[in-house]
Amino acid sequence: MTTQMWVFVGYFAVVFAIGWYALRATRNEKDYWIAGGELGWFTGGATMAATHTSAGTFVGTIGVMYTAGWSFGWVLLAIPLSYWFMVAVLAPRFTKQKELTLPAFIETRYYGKGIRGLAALIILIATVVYIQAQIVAGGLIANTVFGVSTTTGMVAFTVILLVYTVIGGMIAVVYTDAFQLVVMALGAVFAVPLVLRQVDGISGLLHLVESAHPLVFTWETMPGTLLLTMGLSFFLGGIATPEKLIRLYAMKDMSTIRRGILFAIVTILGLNLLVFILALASIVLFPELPTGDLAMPMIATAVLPTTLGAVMLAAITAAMMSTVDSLLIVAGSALSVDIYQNLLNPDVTPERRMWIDRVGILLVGSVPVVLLLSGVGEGELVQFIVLLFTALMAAAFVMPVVGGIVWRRATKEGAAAAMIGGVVATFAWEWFGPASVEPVLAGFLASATLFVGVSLATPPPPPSAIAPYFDS
Amino acid sequence: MNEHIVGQPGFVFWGLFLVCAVVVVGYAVWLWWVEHK
Repeated sequence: MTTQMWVFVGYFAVVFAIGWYALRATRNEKDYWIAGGELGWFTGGATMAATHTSAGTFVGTIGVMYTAGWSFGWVLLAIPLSYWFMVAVLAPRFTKQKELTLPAFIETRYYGKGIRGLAALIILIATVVYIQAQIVAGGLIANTVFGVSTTTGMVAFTVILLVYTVIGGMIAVVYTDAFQLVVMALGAVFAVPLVLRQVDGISGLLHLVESAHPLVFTWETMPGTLLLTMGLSFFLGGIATPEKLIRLYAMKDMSTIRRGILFAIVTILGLNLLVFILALASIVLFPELPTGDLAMPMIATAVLPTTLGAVMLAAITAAMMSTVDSLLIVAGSALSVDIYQNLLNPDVTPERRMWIDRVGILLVGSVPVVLLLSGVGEGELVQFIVLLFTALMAAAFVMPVVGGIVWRRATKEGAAAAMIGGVVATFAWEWFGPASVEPVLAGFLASATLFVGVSLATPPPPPSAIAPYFDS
Repeated sequence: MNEHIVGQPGFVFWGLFLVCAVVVVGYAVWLWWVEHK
């Protein structure tokens, strides 16, 4: 076996060991879906940061910056802003009553099982697309490390992910996330100095980049409206993506959440800035790549020494896996808890529930790879799929979630109209709207208008629906 | 003169690092304020 293979075998061994530990630590559904709701600031912040940092960061961001230049970097600032909003405005009321899933919150606040099913359905569909993008990135890495075909790589990554997520649930996901965050940090921290040595340090890099690509530090490579709406997409999506909201339930209390999010912000900004440097270096070192998504795998294999290159590839894999496992939890719970147990078969015994939970994750994890093998969803730049997912989540959930905890008058009908209208408008803009404006803008505006308009036009919610969030 | 400095790659590059640092410090100050008010 090569050094690269040993690094990966060691990495997967740790991940499986954590999965095995989590299997033994999981006693009930609360453990399985929100890790018992008792996470501390370090594990809570680490799982938030690792979930946030996906193949979108390690492959997609580099890809976009390789093509579009430094101006894309400023979109990064939307991320801490969205986390602050989440902690300062949303979390204090949102976590007053802990649920197992985001659709369960929707049912409590909007007093209806049907609207919970609708939320679960949107999560399921959007998540499948997102998982696909991440799995494609995993396939590319497997192709680079093990020399297997991209297809084999995609299947292998899916199997590995499913094994530890299915058996260990959220506890496995949280602790593997913390481990994967360490791998990502190691990869980025060691790679940057070595790459900078190839280009005479930061000043040499800036000089070489400007010579190779004179517009890279200007605002001319991406339309301003696109940058602003991308920032809006990251901001709104950062607030309302279910995999992040559910982590608020998983952390112990508000003080833990505030500290955990500080840790997550520092880690996310640090990792992204290091990745941005690698993106600039790839413009100089590999000026003729067919797609920007190949820049990071090229740095890992052609620039870094073998062992460090393998750690870098493991870091990309860790980024992908730590995001997909969290999405598997969200989509699996949407299918097995919110749709099957809530709507189709409410009389399931507690013993059978744990089995149904696991089957749910297995199913939602298998669909994306089956679709990919059938040729559906291939060939998109990873970062743009990430943005579409973020836009969908923002359009569907920001108004029902944020509006639901700040506005007593928000009704079930208003929330349902906001979710459906937001998703439809996002897709309509994606297909028919101008590419210089992100679809999140249309989706969010449609969602907000419908949320307010329909809520005001329908009878106010019953006091029992707003009491858990508004009464002290 | 200012326009000349602002257009420099070094200014644009380090500017993003600086703004990120300010954001982190800002959050930390807010956290301290919330927990001690």
